[in-house]
Amino acid sequence: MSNSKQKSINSGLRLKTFLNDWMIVFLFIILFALSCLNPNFRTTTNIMNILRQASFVAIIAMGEFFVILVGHMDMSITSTINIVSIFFAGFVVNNGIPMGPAFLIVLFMSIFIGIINGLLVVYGKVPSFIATLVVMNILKGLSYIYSGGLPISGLPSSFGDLALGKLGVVPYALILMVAVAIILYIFSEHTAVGRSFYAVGGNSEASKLSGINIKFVIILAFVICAILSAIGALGLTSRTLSGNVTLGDNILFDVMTICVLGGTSLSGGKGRVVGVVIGTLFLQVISNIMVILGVNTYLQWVVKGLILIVVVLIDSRSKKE
Amino acid sequence: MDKNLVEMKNISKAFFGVQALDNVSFELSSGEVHALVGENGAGKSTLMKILTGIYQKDSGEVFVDGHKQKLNSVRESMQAGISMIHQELNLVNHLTVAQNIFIGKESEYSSPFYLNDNKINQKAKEICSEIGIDIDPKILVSELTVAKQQMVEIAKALSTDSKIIIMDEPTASLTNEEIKDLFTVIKRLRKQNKGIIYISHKLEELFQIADRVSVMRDGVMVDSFPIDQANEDMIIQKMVGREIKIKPPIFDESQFGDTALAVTNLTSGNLVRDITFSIRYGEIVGFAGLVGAGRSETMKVIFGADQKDSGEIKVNGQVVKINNPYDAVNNGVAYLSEDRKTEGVITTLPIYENISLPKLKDFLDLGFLLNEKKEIKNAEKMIEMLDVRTPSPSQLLQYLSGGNQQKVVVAKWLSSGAKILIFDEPTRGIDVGAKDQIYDLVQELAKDGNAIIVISSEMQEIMRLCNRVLVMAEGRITGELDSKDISQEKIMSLAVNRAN
Repeated sequence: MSNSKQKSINSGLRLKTFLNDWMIVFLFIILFALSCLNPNFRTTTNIMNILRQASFVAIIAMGEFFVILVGHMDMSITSTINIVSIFFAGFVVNNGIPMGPAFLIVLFMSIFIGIINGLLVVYGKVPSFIATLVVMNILKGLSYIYSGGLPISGLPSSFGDLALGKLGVVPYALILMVAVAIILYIFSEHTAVGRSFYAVGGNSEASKLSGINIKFVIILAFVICAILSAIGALGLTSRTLSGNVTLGDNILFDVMTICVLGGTSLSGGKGRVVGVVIGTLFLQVISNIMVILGVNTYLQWVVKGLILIVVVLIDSRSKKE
Repeated sequence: MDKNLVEMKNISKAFFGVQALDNVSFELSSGEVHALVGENGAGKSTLMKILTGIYQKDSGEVFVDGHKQKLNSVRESMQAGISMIHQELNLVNHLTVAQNIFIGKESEYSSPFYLNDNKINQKAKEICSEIGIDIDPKILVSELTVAKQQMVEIAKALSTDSKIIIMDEPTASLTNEEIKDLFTVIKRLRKQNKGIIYISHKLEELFQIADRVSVMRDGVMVDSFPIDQANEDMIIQKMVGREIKIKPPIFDESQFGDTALAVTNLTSGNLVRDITFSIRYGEIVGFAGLVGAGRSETMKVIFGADQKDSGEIKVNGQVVKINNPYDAVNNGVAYLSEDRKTEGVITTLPIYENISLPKLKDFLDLGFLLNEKKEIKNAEKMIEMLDVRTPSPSQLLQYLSGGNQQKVVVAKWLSSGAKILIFDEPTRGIDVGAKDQIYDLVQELAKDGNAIIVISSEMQEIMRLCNRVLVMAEGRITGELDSKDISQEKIMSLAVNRAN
């Protein structure tokens, strides 16, 4: 093939990958610009509010991102969030354990949950959808047994700073999210282990034969997901200063939408941490503008559902080509 | 051979502004086996995909049986009487032979609300006996050999009254015996005035089966002539546009180093039985045998991809435990899989990431940060060395042709620094021209002091490359030949030793 032919094939592909990669950014800019037409939207307080609310969701979505990246799915994040929320509140309020040690305990709980998910998938050969669905229900049962289904309130007000505190106008939550995103960006795109996530998701058999420990990678993905769910859970808990067994119940759908919006391929091997952050902002801006415009909650669900469908359709179409 | 079944006139097709087909014309008569050959990327697949309605032509005309056809979809093409048997078969494993043959057409033979298999079983039997194949229609497809599955595909094509059957590399995974059976069936089809388009890389087959040969190169139809006016050299020359020399291997045995790999009584399941051999640095040892003889299985056990039942593996004189490929890579053993698509490449990653995958450790800064510049530089070196045709090392693998993907796999293992390299069908799906480069490379690697094992079903490849050949049959090593003794006949007699 001649050089000029190669060049044109290349520029054509490059344009296409460029559009694929940056589509969500363009859409986000357009959405943001349109939203700014509304005076109630474009206030600093509102924007900071969006960022604050988006932060913990983004952290959780980044966790799910890693599981999707290796070609699996973690349904159990809702219950991980719930159990972390209720146990943390219980430890601190009922048992008088200081917040630091209580945090460590729930952190280890989440790591344990991630390991169980990973072991079921890797050694039990259970499809991740089923394995994590089972874990989800077990965790749900445990958190209801522990709390009787009631919230545990009375966490120290200093804990509320996590969600509500600010450095100047910048919420702590946002700083935390950016920090997590930077670490995960470096991890996923610039470390050897991170690279193997893409490899395993892209072709696990070829990765195995390249000497990559795919079992380790998959378990690690579930562990990262569980840890980030736990951190997100504590952030969400700090908003109301109370542990709640239904805290994460509606979040799975948003998280999936965010990952796909951010360009993560549901069949694995493709996606970026940055995309997940932008996906979160996108969804959060839409929710916010719908609230400002007085769209009722149920209709919001419908809108979000349609968004997910459209994005998935675009994704599967581009794969065909 | 009388009227034209298919006439493709001045077909052009471009992708992203690249001319994949340039004014190509092609004809197929009824009762003819028309071979279509060319290097990878020559445009054979694109032409066939236009004929089967998978791609739409930019310009040109297609006539089937004298009628102009648009061929806008696979369905339209099927209705026009065209069927293609792809290299990767399209059968549903958990359904029976008859169910597969009549899939989507059940209602023609039975009530759609209560499917009765009796009728389709009977009909399937009729079709099979028509072309002389003996398969029980009630058996599950998953229980058949690949060769038999291919026959089912042919039967499926016949069930729709296809007049034109396209076969893409039909013999790629068949044994010699099975190839004979396939040819018998093809000849029978020819007698029934069907038209067969036969795509193959194995030129010697063409002389057994084809009536006419068309050669494509770089999107252009180079030539088309009756088979009795052709010979192998001439076809190869037209395919590559230059002459290919065959160099016999020259080995200086005094240059061989210590024993690199020694395997003793290795056993795993039925296909790896009591395997004992050793190889020294600088050697190229061939593993010959028929498909299913257990060669790949043996290598996979050595590489840790499959578990051994018993036996011992020594690397550099030391007994090693290789429980998984990671252990193997750490011991300097690399395995280049025969199944590129599912075991070799990661199509969602760029070239350079594929290449550095087995040895990411070599590309780290501060012990954990990947140095992409270093990765890309290494990839550029490999691309240059192996002549991978790509605009840049950052190109995703999915945009490379099969042959170029294979070169990337070779590059991956070469740069992993392994000293014991196991090449399983190293040139499968690789251009005739590029094969020589791979051969030179393998020899170069041996001269540099690597120990190399080559598994190949192409005897010429083995004879061309190896200083020693081990022949396997039914999971056992049945014989060993050194360079003076290697001949096609000797290898074959050892390969069928226990098979018969």
